[in-house]
Amino acid sequence: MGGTKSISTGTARQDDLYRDAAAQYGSSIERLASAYEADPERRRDLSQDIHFQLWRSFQGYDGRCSLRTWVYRVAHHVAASHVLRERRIFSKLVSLEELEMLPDKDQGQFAADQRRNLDRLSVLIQQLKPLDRQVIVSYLEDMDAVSIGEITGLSPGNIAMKIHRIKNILARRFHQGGGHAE
Amino acid sequence: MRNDSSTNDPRTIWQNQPTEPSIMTLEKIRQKLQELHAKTRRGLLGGIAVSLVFAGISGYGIALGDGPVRAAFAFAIAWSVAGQYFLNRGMWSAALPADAPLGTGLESYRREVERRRYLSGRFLLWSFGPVALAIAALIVLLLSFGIRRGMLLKGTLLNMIPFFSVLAIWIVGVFVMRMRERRQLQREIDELNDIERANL
Repeated sequence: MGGTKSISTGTARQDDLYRDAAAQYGSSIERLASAYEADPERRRDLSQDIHFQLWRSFQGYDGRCSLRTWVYRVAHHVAASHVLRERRIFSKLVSLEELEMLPDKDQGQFAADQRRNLDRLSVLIQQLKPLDRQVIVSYLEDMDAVSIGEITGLSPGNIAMKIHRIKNILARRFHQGGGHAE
Repeated sequence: MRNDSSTNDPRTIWQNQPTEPSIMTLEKIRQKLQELHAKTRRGLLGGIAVSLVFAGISGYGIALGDGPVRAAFAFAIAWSVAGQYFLNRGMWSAALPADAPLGTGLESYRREVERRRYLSGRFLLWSFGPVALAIAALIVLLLSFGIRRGMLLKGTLLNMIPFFSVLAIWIVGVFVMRMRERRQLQREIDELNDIERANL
């Protein structure tokens, strides 16, 4: 009967927590799904899976971390599992360190429209290993190092180093000269 | 144009991307829950059906074979039954560990990679193992028939060589691919260990 606890019909508190989380972080979840899945149909499935697992997870939510941290932890967990399940981990996913060394095919070309820049940003993120994706997505969502640490479990030193690399990569690829990516 | 921060700032680009509104409602979530129950039941019944077919074929092999071949088929059946038990034991809790969100991204990702590696090993041991053994026993059984009946079955055996070859390639291929997958997952675990060490 191990399944009865993990697969139950839910409680009113669980429903309320889910409604709150979906209302506050629904758009963030959609963006996060786009960082892990390029195909629109599969992205929709992934997003629904994140919502479903988020609802399930609220059965065990005891407020020991903020709602935002909880939502992002669950969402990243489901999305990283998706990457593993799809066996993309065996394709050429790279770390931030490796990505920093890779030459940019589009270097020198500046895309004036937001759509193309978004595509380039998405492609860049989707090349990354899941843990580095968590850091870059959190950074792009305007989170500070402390929040990124709470979500990823990386040390402040490690996060500082990764954010430094992210800024370098983004500055180089989006011609920002460093300043805009701060 | 290069200084236009709205088109050039990655964070602005990211946060202003068009997103589809979520269509998930509590009603849909409950529907998904029912689907998950049904899928789990189907998986369980499917596994039992495959095992029964497997046991039937192996039983036929026991009836026809002798000595070591009979023992190999009997062992394959026992192995497969034990496999069904071990494979289905963790089925209900496979989707998301109850305490997963309590862990950080690093912890839960590591746990997931380890789980994948464990599942891959479990597949090799409890699903693939009995099937490979039964196929090997079947080949030995057919070969021994051919040898005992002499020239009568020589042509049939020769005609079956491509089939045996495909089976052998399939067995080796699955084994090699799974082992490579396990090595890659182990490399990922090692990298995560390095990150954890650097975290201290």
